[in-house]
Amino acid sequence: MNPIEERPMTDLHRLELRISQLLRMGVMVAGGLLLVGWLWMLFNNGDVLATFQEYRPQALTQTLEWAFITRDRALILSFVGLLILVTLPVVRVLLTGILFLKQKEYRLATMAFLVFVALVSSFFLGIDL
Amino acid sequence: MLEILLLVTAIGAGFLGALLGLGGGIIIVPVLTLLYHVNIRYAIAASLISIVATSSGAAASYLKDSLTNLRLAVFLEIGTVSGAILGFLLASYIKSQFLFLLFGVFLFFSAVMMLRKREEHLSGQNHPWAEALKLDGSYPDSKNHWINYKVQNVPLGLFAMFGAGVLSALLGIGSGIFKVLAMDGAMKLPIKVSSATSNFMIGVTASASAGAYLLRGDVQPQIAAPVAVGIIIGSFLGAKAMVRMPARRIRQVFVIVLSIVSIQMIVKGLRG
Repeated sequence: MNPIEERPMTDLHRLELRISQLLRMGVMVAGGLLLVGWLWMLFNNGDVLATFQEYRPQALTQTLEWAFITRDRALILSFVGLLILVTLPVVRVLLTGILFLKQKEYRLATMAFLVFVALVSSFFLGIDL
Repeated sequence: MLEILLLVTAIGAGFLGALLGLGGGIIIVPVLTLLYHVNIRYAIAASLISIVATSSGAAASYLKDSLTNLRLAVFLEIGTVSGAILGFLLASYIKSQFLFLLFGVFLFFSAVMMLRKREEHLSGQNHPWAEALKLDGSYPDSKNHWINYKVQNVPLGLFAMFGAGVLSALLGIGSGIFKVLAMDGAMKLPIKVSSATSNFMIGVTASASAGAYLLRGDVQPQIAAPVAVGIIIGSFLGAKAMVRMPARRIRQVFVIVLSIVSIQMIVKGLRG
């Protein structure tokens, strides 16, 4: 427990902080889209919460296709919000990887890219299951 | 009307979660299934979306305090993300009744863990992996003195993170309790560092399965939107109120609530 004078943030830490601030803005944007989309859906279709007691799987691609055909803009808006939201951490990991690369921390950069690839492939596991 | 009520409930869940230092998942999944009779698969998917939202929103404030160990977070995310992938794959083969049972047991375990006193066990030595990857670090204590710490039992920690990832995807939780257990229990990190680093990692872990559930069509915007928006608002308010509330009292009450809900979830699982 040796007291040391105040330390400045490392470059890595400072840049990561900036990435996180960007993420926070992303959450605000996505949250805004979700709120507008949801209220719009509520206005159009009324309350449908009671219909979710049973599990009826339908792939996102099908739902979106239907939404485009029926021009259900409220539903599309909500899904755009959801998609932005779930991709934010993936973008973060990618940017962190690039940061490590720039700092010549090759091992940690490799790990970050590994996590990035795992995240992207996990998304695709949701298709065709 | 129910959906509006759901928004209000989610604000409450986010508020409580921020006060207690928990993710919303532990609250929102039982609320959705027991109170609103939403199917547990939709509840889990919606919960994961809200976890991604809150942790992405909060990451900046954790980094600002210099408590997050970024290098360690990236390393351990390998474990949590691969665990989450396995959890997502397993979920389709598991009956919903069993999900209720598992969730009930998890709630009970969380209640016990909340009663536990966390103690510092700092270590003076690095595990060879920690040495090679420079995973050790330092953090400022309350008097702004910098304290150095080392990292122990790295393989065990990584394995525990894998388990935390599986549970996160399976139950729709951030599984911060297990992450913290692995970090200050096994890896001997300072409590503040393990809490901050765990919170920082939760968003990445949850996004792996949240994205998969979203593409599979399990995320219903009519549920996920009010829940996510509510939890974002609630946790923001909770963070503001934190200073003025007696967190210990709330914690004790919450442990009791958690135990009762745990029994209800188990009963629901047994009845089918």
